[in-house]
Amino acid sequence: MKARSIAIAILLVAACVLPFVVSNFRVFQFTMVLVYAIVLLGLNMLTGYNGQISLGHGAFYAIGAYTAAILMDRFGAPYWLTVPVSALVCLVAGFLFGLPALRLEKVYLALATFALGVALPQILKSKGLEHWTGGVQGIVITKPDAPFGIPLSADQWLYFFTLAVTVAMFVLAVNLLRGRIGLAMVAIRDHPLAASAMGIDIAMYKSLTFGVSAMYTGVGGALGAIAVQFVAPDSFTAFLSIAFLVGIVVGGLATIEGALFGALFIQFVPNVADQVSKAAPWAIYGIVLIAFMYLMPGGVSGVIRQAWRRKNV
Amino acid sequence: MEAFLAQVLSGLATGGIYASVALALVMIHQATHLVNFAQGEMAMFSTYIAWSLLNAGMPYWAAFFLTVAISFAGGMLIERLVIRPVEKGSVLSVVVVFIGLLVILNAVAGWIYSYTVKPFPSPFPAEPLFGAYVSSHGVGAIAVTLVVVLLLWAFFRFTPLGLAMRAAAQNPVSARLVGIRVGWMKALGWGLAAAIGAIAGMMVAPVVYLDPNMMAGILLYAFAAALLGGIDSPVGAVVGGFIVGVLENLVGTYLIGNELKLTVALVLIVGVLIVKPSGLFGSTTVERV
Amino acid sequence: MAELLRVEGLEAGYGPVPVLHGIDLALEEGGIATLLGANGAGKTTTLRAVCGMVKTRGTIRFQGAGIEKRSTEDIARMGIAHVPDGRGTFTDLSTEENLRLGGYVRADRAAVAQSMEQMYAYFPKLAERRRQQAGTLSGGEQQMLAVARALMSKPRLLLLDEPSFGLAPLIVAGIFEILRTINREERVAILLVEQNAAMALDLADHAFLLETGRIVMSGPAARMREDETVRRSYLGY
Repeated sequence: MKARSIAIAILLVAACVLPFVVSNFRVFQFTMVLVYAIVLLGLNMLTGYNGQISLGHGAFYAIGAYTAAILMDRFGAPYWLTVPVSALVCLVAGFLFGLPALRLEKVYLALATFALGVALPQILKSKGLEHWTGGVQGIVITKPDAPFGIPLSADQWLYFFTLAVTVAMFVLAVNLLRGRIGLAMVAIRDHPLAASAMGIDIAMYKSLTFGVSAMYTGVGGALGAIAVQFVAPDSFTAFLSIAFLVGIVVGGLATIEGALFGALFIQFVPNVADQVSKAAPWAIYGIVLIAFMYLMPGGVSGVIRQAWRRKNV
Repeated sequence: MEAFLAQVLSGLATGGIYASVALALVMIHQATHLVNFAQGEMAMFSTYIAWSLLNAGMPYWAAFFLTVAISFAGGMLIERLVIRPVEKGSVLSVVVVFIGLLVILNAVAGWIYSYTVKPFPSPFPAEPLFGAYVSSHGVGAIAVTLVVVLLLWAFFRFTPLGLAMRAAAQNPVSARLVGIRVGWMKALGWGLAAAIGAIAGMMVAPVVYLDPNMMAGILLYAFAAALLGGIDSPVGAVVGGFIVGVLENLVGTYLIGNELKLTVALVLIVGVLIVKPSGLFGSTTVERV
Repeated sequence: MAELLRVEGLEAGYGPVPVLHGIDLALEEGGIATLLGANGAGKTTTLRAVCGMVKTRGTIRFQGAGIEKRSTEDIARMGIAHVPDGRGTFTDLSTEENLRLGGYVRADRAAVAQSMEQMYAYFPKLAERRRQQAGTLSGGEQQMLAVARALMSKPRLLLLDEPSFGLAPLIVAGIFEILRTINREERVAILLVEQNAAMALDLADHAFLLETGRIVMSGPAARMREDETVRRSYLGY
């Protein structure tokens, strides 16, 4: 698809030029867009492609974020190390979580993950973990400066670092999802009985998908923590998980490019809506969730693909 | 010993609330095979409606019953307008719509009433009537729960409409064959669930104070109770509710501290789903391949 | 005798799979017709189509009114009672509750109670088990319950889908005898789908033979009974 390659090239060029033409704050905002894109890629893998509904992915985001914060604050680790470590921690955590989750029907998995999302802030605030998590006050970390004296602001450097990680994660996702693995995941989602009859090891696929999905979200969490320079329990409420759900619904379930559209939506819409009223962003989210299910179940990606197909007919 | 008794009794009082919300969840699940993630927010919104009526000067019980009636109608409307279009869709689209409903109700409540916490009156006297073990409101809440449960039981057991609703829930195809309008039975189920939720909300608000996020934790406990009792068993919901209430209090006081109470609900939910998904009173259904 | 049911050019199927390819049949008031055919011929689909349970093309007229676009519950309220294959009993409810549900659409509570007593008279076994959970009844009793429930609505037309399925011949004979009585005394028309062709042709006035979604033969039951192809393929001799 030549058109797709051209679009991606234009996007990459624009992404590289961006930090030099906007303010530092905007650069931070776009860094968060990239962070959310990675997260949504992860969630979409699990829920969109594989049909395992998670309403609690904020938990993996929190694990990634806290891992990064604890590594940097308590162990003085360099910022770039937090990404692979968070990835590994969340991969394992996700896989372990995926094992019991295997036996749950879709709606009950949604319920269990919903419960996790609601209970999470309390767990993070608990006295038992306070020594590591900093309790209610959380942990403050500092953004790294550009290395080797490169003339970039801290925000710009972090943006490019995040961009590099994002590109890598997208490439990995494309390789995973466009081939046999992606087909197997979708087969498990739509016709589990037929899939297992065809020899697909459902248990392994589902647990691995959970693990990889958590890994992506955890990487996003780590990068997000560094960008925001702060982790605290109240940043990771059930509403964070719901925002991720909004992201993949808006972007397009079971699409890769949808992660980007969804990320742009959940980063910028609240900023604009907030100015109307504190409740407005969530009213919009709620309406969007319902409206998209009725009218645009394929999300923005779906609309674009349909339009493209019609143009080419 | 006295402290223990006090914990048990107060656990029963909160358990009554959980039982009510769990009953609403079970009712909707029985009628439509759907898990109502928005049940808590519906109850919260109903309680705000009651608050508005009370604020406008209406006497308590008038406001109470009017709120129940409005909530009943609202529940039916939500089923017909919001849920009906996606009912037959994928599990994911249904869940997404429910979350959307949850979020909208929360946001609208926050927008209309602001996020500042408001006090909500209790119809029961302030002085404890039964010694210092449990407040009058606690006893009153338990009593209200039991009355609601009794009325529902009588409705389903003895009235033709109740029978029709049971039939529609168990076997919609056969129900249609005898002329039952199954769609309206589902709407009625939602109406009843909304009404019960409203009552639960009005019973809990005096204790935890009214704010848009009031029901989040309670919904979790109600889910735990409904699953523990068996997601299709009304009796299970009620028993489960009381068990969860007492358990929450005892574990919170004697084991892990009050700050981790929600984790109890989480552990219960995950535990029941993994170990015995049909709950205490439910029956395991065999899926036809 | 007035015409009760007329089906013309009925096509029906499940999703993309067509099952009926244009069926014509008619039934007069108080008549008994049987729909015969092998498995998969489309007999159950025909009954389901009449009740609005599948998507159809073509016309279905009941007492002169077109019902092909009506919902199942509306059709039930118009006076068509369907005893589906598998019986469709409310297995978690009691025998008595099942019967009461049969009379759901009737407004006169006293008349419904009377009908229930009448059903107990036709089927004494059900009277013995009136408080028992319907799912625990034997196969024959559940079939009786299904028929009784259908009759509780005082229908003009009774649709029966394989009532003999899985039942001992003696029990089937008993049920068919009651069908005969009810047809005679209450003038209830019956459209009977049956694999047991012998018993069906014995009960019915008129018969239709269905093969892969088309009516290939129809006529008075007596004549069909003598027909060579019918004898060979469906009567076994």
